[in-house]
Amino acid sequence: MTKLLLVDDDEELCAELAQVLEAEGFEVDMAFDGLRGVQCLQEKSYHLIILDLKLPRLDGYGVLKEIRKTAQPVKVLVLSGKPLGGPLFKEEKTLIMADAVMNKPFIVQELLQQIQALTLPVVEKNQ
Amino acid sequence: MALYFIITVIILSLSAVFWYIRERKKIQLEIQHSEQRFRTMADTAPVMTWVSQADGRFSFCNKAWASFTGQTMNDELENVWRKGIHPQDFSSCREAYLKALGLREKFTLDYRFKRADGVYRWVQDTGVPHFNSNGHFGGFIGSCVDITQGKLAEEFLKRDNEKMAQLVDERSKELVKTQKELKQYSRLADIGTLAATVAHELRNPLGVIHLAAYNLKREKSDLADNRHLANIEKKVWEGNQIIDNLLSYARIKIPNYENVNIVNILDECVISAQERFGEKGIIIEKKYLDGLDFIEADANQIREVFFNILNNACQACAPSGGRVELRARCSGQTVEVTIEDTGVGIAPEDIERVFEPFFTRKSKGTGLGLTICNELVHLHQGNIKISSRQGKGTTVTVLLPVRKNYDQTASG
Repeated sequence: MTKLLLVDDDEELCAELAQVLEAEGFEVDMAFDGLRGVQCLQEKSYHLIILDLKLPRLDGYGVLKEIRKTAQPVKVLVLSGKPLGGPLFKEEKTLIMADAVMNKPFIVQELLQQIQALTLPVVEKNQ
Repeated sequence: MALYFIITVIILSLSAVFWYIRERKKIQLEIQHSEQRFRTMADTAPVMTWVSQADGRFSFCNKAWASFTGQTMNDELENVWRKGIHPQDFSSCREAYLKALGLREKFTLDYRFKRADGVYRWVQDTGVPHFNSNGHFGGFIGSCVDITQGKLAEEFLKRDNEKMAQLVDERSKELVKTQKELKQYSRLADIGTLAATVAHELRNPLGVIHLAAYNLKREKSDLADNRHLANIEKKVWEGNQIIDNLLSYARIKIPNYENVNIVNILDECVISAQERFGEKGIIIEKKYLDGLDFIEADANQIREVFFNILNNACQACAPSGGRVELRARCSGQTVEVTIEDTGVGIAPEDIERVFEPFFTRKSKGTGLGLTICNELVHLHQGNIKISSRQGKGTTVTVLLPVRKNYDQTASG
């Protein structure tokens, strides 16, 4: 089963999104702050991390840097509350380390398509 | 005795006559001397001097006058004077001179007087009446000074003053306008920051509502067509649109120029609007004229401009359907896009205010759509015009330069 980690401080969002993803057949863990997210990664391996940028304790950029320090070949999908598209600010350049970036609010179908696209090769490998 | 008396009388008479003649001669000589002294004085004086008789006719002019006019004293002085005065000044001078002659009083006239070389000079002519020993009016003694320099200076000063007043006026107007804009911008900057913060914060709850509705529908199949859930989803979408608008206003920035195909952008906007237009029974027509090609612009910003204008057209036609025509053409260095609708139109008193931020007559909307369009078009050094007839429809015209930094004055 494809394992996903949701890192977002909005607990209701995590809960609702987890339900959607579980219904699609994913195994979902949740972390409500950046540090907890990094901790989860050390405890378990995931196929994909869905990462918010505005997080308590350690923000999304920090989490992203931590993830890339480890040898885990985990994919990262960043959900940004701030629309991106123009020239990036200093911190935002970190986003180059992400596999995909989506703006909030997202349309569920589009998010699912994106997640599927990112996890597909892994699924194939497992099979 | 009688003879002696007669001889004495004759001698006395004769001596009286001789005395009289001698005295007259003396007086005449003195007059001559006096006249000579006057002439010498007058001729050596640097100012032009003239003398007229009781009937107003000129009887004398000095060397300065003669050399100014280039005429000799033998010439018909009056004619010289008449012909020398600038035609535009002549009648007023003549009138003033005749009036002073009638009243026998001092006069001063400023007029242009032709110099020997044909150049008109401004002169100031002052005439003072002179009376003989019996108190009879004998005409005028006049002097005439070249005041061209002074006049010119006066004119320059007047012109400079007018120019200065005009400049001050222009600058004041500009200042008032700038102050107004600055005030608006600072208000907008504050509101923009606030709006951006609030909008970001609202994104999450809206996203959760959207997800919750999705989950409800998924879990309970009988809710798939639930009207209340559909309303929730629709309102979440509308809420997001408002946030988009607020954010796009808050983050208006310098265009990121690239070569974009204007026809493609217009097509994209029409396609994305088509569904909404269809739902509301609005027909959209495109008319592209030849010559449309790539332009230097920020594709996202230009897309937003036409998306907003089409959105307005849609809302204006919405109650009862209608027609929207999109015309595009390229003339010289400018692309002109016109979007004309047959919607409700804009009231004359509102047309001035449509670009003001937060101004709206719609029940829904932020009043930022056209403000954003105006800002974006001007950032592209273009222009946006709007005309409308209430009940008939609205026409929005957007002019965009084909090349950025295109200086319309330089290329003629």
